[in-house]
Amino acid sequence: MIATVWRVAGVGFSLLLVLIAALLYGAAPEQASFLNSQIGDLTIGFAVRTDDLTVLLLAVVGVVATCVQVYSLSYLHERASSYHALVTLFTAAMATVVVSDSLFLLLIGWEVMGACSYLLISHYWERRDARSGAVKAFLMTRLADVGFLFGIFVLGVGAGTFRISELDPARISPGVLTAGTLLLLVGVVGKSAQVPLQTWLPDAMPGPSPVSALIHAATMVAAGVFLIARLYDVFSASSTTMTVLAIIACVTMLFAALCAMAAVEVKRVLAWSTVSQLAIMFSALSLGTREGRHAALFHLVTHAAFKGLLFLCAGVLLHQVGSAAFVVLRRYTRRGVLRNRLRVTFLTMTVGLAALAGVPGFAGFFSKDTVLEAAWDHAHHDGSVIGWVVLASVGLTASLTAFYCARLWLWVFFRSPALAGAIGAFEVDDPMADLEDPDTSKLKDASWLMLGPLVLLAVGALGLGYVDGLHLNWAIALGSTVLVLFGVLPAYSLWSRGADPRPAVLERELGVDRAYHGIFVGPVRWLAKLSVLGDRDVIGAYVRAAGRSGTLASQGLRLLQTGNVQTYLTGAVVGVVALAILAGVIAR
Amino acid sequence: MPLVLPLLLAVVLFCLGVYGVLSRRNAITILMSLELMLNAVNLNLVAFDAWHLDGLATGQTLAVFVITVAAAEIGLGLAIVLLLFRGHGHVDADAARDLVEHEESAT
Amino acid sequence: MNAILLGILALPMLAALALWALPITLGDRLAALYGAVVSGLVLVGSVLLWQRTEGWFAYSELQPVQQLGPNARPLDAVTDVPWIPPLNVRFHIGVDSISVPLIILTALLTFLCCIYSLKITPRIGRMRSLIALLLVIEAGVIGAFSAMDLVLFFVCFEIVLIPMWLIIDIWGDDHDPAGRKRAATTFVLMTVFGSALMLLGFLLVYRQAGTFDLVQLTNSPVLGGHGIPLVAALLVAVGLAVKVPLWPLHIWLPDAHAKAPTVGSVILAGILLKLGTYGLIRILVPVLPDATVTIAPYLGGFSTVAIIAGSLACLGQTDLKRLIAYSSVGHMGFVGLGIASLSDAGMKGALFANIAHGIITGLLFFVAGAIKDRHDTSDLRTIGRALYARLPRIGALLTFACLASLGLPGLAGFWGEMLVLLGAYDPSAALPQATFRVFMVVAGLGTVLTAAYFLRLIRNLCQGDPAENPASAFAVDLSRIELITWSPLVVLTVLLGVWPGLLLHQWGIL
Repeated sequence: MIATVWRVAGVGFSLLLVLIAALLYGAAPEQASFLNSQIGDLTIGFAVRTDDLTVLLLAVVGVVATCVQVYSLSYLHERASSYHALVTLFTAAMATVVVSDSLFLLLIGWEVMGACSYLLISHYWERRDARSGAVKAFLMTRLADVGFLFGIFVLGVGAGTFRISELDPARISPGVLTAGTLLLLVGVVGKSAQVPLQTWLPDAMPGPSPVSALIHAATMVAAGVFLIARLYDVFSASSTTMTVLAIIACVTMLFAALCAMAAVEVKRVLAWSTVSQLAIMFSALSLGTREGRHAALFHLVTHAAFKGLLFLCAGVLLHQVGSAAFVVLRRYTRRGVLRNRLRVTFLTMTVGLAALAGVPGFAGFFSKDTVLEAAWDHAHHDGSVIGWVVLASVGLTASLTAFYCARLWLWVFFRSPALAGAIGAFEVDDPMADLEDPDTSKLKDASWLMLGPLVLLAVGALGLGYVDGLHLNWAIALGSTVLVLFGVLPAYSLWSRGADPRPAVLERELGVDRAYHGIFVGPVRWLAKLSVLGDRDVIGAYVRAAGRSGTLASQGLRLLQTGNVQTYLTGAVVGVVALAILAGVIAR
Repeated sequence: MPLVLPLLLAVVLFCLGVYGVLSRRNAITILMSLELMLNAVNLNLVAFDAWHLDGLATGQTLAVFVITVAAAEIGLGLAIVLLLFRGHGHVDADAARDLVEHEESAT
Repeated sequence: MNAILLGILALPMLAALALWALPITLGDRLAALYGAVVSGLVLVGSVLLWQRTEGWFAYSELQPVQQLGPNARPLDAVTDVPWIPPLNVRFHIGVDSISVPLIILTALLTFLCCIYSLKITPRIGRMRSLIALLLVIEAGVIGAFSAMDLVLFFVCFEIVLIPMWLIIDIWGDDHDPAGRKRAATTFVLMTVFGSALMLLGFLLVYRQAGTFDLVQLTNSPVLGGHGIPLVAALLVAVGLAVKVPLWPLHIWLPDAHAKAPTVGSVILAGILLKLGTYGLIRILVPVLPDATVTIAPYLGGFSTVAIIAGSLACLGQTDLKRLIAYSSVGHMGFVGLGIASLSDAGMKGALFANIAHGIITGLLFFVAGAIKDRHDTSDLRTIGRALYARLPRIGALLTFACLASLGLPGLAGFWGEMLVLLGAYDPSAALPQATFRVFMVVAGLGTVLTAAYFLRLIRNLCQGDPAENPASAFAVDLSRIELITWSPLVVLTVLLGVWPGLLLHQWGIL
C-alpha cells in the first residue's frame, strides 16, 4: 500500500519535472528569493532562478528519473517504498541544485543528494560490499563538500553575497576568486569522482542498477559539471583554477579509461567510463570559452541518455541472469543464448555502447566532436597550451573508450570465433566453467516496463546528436573516427584470439584505494583508539587522582585523631603560640 | 608595686598550669593544673584592675566571675573524672582513648 | 508578560513540592500524568513568551552599548525586586530573544519526557520522585535562562545539580550500581568545582563593577583585557566550560550520559549542557568584553580540539549511549568555537547550534534509550546488527537522527555548524584571523569525522545480515507513545533545517 503510494508519487514527481521543464522552455529568465535572514552584512537565505541551463537540466533529470522510476516498478520489489521515496528525494535534491540561485540552497540539494546516494547504495544492506561502498561514497563526497562549503564562504564573503546571479567576478579580488573557485572545485571533484577522489564511484556499484543509472546519468555526478557551467563566469575568470581543472580532467579521463579497460564486470566498466566521460566534460569546461561550455553541456545531455541506457541494460542483465560479471555472462554467451534471448536488451545496449564509443552517427560521436572542435579552436586560434593538452588527451581517451566498449560488447554478447569449444580468457578464471550447463531455459527478456525506458533512451542515444544542428568539422570527424577504429581493432583482434590481457596494475586500479586506506583510514582508527585511551588513562586519570588525593588526605588527617586529649591540647597550645608570634611579627 | 611583678607571677603560674595539663597523666592533676591556669588569669585581671583604676573595678568583677565559673567547671570536671573511673577503673588520661578514629568507620 | 514568566518559574517548583506531599502510594502513571499536565502548562506559557521581536538587549560587535541602540531592545517580562539587600543582590529576571528559544526548548523536552514516562518507566519505578525532580530541574533551568543577576544565575545553576545527581544515582543503569554511583558523583563534583570557580569570577566582577546586575553590567561592562578582568574572565570561562563541556573538562559527560536513565540523558544533553554555553554568551562576552578577546583564541583552540577529540573518541566507542554522549562533546565544541569567534555569524551559529543540538540529541537519546530498553543493554556488540530488519522504524529514525546530527544540510544540525564555520572564517576584527582560519579548517575536517562515526554506527547497528542477527521475540517496533514523543522533535529538526530564519530572524542584528 505505502509502496504503491510512493511508486505513484515517484513517477508522478519525475513527470512533473519534465512538465515544468516544458512549461519553462523559452520563458524569460527570472529569479526569486525567500526566507532570508540577515547575518551581519550577509544575507543567508534561499533563492531560485530559471534560465536555459535550468530548463535543460530539469528536462534531463526529469526524463532520466521517469525512466528510472518506471523501470524500477518491475526491477525492484523488496523495500520498494523506501527505495521509491529515496529516489524521489534524490531527484528532488538534484532539481533543487538545478533551480537554486542561492549557494546555500544549492548546498542543501548537493548534500541531500550525497545522503540519498548513501542510503540508496546501501539499499541491499545485507551485503558487505554495499555497506562499505555506501560509507565510502558518503565520506569521500562529504570530505569534498567541506572544501565546497569553504569555497562558498570565500566567494560569498569576498563578493558580499551568496546569490549566484549577483556573483560578479569583476568585483571580487583575484586572490579571493582563485581561492574560492579552487575550493569549490574540491567539492566538484569529490561529487563527480575525479582524481584524486575517484575511488568511491566504482565501489558504489553494489547499489541497485537503476540507482546507478540515476547517479551516473542525471544526478549527483552531473551536478559537478552543472555547477561549473552555472558559475562559468566566476570560474573562467581565474586562469589558475581553469588550469588545475584541465590537469585534473586530463589525468582523470586517461586514468579512468585505463581502469575501465581492465574491469571484468559490466557495471564497473560503465562506472569507470562515467568518470572518464565526466572528465571529458570538465576538460571542455576548462577551455574557458563559450564553445567549451556548450560542448560540455551537449556532452552532458547525450551522456545522460546513453549512460542511463547502459546502466539500465546492465540492470536487465543483473535481473535476468543474476550477475553482470563477465565470467557469469560468458557461461550463457558461450552457448549462444544471451544475445538471442535478450534481444531488445542486446540491441539497445549496442546503441548505448556505440554512442559511448563515439561511432559516427550516434549521439556520443557528435558531442565528443564538439568537445574536440572547441579544444581545437582554442588551441589553434588562441594558441593555448590547455587547448592542445585537452585535444590530445580527449583524442587518446576516445581510442581507449572505443577499446573498452568493443571489448565489453564482444565478450558479453558474442562467442569468439577462435573459441569454438576452446577456452578463452574468462573461462580460465571461471571455477564453474567445467560444471554442468547453466539453466538457460528460463532466460528471457525482461518485462516491457523495463524495456520501455531502454527503448526511449536508445532513441535518445541515437537521435540527440542531431538536435544541436549538424555542423561537422570534417577533418575532426574523420580524425576521431580513425581514433575510434584504432581502439576497436585491437579489441577485436584480442577477442578473436580469445585473449584478454589485463595488467595487474590496472586491475588493482593503480593501487590508489589501498594507498588511501593506508594513509587515511588506518591512522584515523589509530587516533580514535588513542583518543579513547587518552580520555580514560590521561584525562580520566587526573580526575580519579583528584578524587583519590582527597580521600588520601582525609585518611592522613584522621591519623591525628589519636584520642589522647593531651595531644590535642598540645596542638592547640602550639597553635596559639605560633599565632601569637605571627601577630607579633606582623605588628612589627 | 610595678605591674610587671604580678604579671611575671601570673606567667609562671600559667606556664606551670600548661605544663601540668599537657604532661600529667592523672586526670585529677590535670584538673588542678587547669585551676592553676585560671588563677593565673585571675591574678592578671586583678593586677590590671589595680593598674588601670577605671572606678568600676571591672577586673575584680571579672575575677569573681571566673572564680564562680571555675567552681562550676571543677564540679563538672570531677564528675567526668568520676565517670571515667567508674567506666575504666582508672583515671589515666593517656589510656582513655574513646575519641580515637577507628579504621572501620571510614566511608 | 512578567506574570507568565513568574508563573512558569513557580509552577513546576510548587508542583514538585506538592507532588512530594502526596502519598507515596501514588501510581506511576498518575504521577507522570500530573507531570505532563504541569509541564504542558509551562510549555504553553513559554510559547506565549515568544514574540516576533528582533534583537538582543545589548550586544553589538563587542562594542559596549552605552545606551540601548536601535537594534537593541529592552528585556521582556521583567521582574526586579530586592532579594538580599546587604549584598546588593536582586531578584531580577527577564527574557529576550536569546533566552526564549532556550526556555521553550527546556519546556518542550521536559514535557516530552513526562509524556514518555506515561508508558515507559525506569525499572526502579518511584516515578513520583522522578517526575518531581524533573520539574525542579525545569524550574531551575528556566530560572537560569531568565536570571538577570549573577547571584541568581548561580543559584539557579546550582539548583539543577542535585536533582540531576539523584536521577543518575537512583534511576540510572540498574546493571551497574557502582558505575552509576561513580558517574553521578563525578558529575556533581566536577560541576560543583566549576561553579565554585564561576562564583569566584562573579565576585571579582562585583569587586570591579560594584553590581551583580546583568543589565547594568552589559551596558557598562568591565573593561580591560588584563589583570583582574582577565582573571575573572578565566574563572567564569573555566567554570562554565565544565558544564559545556569543553575538552579536557568533558570527562564527566560520557559516564553521566551512559548511566543515566533515558529521560535523564535527554534532559542532561538537551538542556543542561546549554546552561554552560548560554552563560558564556550571556555573561562572559558582554560583561567582560576585552578580557574575552584575550582568551577567545584559547577558547576557540580548546573547542576545536574538542571537536576532533570528541569525534575520534566516538569512532572508538562500543557503547551506543556513550557514543552519543561523546558526539555531544564534538557538537558543543562547535558552539564554543562560534562563541570564541565573537562575530555575528559565529554567535548566531552558536545559539542556533545550541537549539539544534538540544532537539537532535534529545531525539538521539530517546531512540538510543528505546534500543537499550529493548535489548537490556547499550553495548553495540551485544545488541547485534541488522536493526533495519528487526526494528525497521526505530532503525530508520536512528538513521534520520544520525544524519541530522552529522549536519546534513536541510536538517537543523547544519545551520549552526555552518554559521560557526562562517564565523571562524571571518572572526571579529580584534582576533587573529589566521588562527581562526586554521580552526575553521580543522573543524571542517571534524565534520567529516562526525559523519564517519555516525556512518560507522549505522553500519554496525542498523545494517548487517539479518540471518546472523535474528529478531528477538519480545522486541516490538515503534510504539505509539514513542511516536507521539518523538514526532515533535523530528518535525522541529526538519522545520529548522528548511527554515533557519525562524530562529535567525528572531535574533535580528546582534
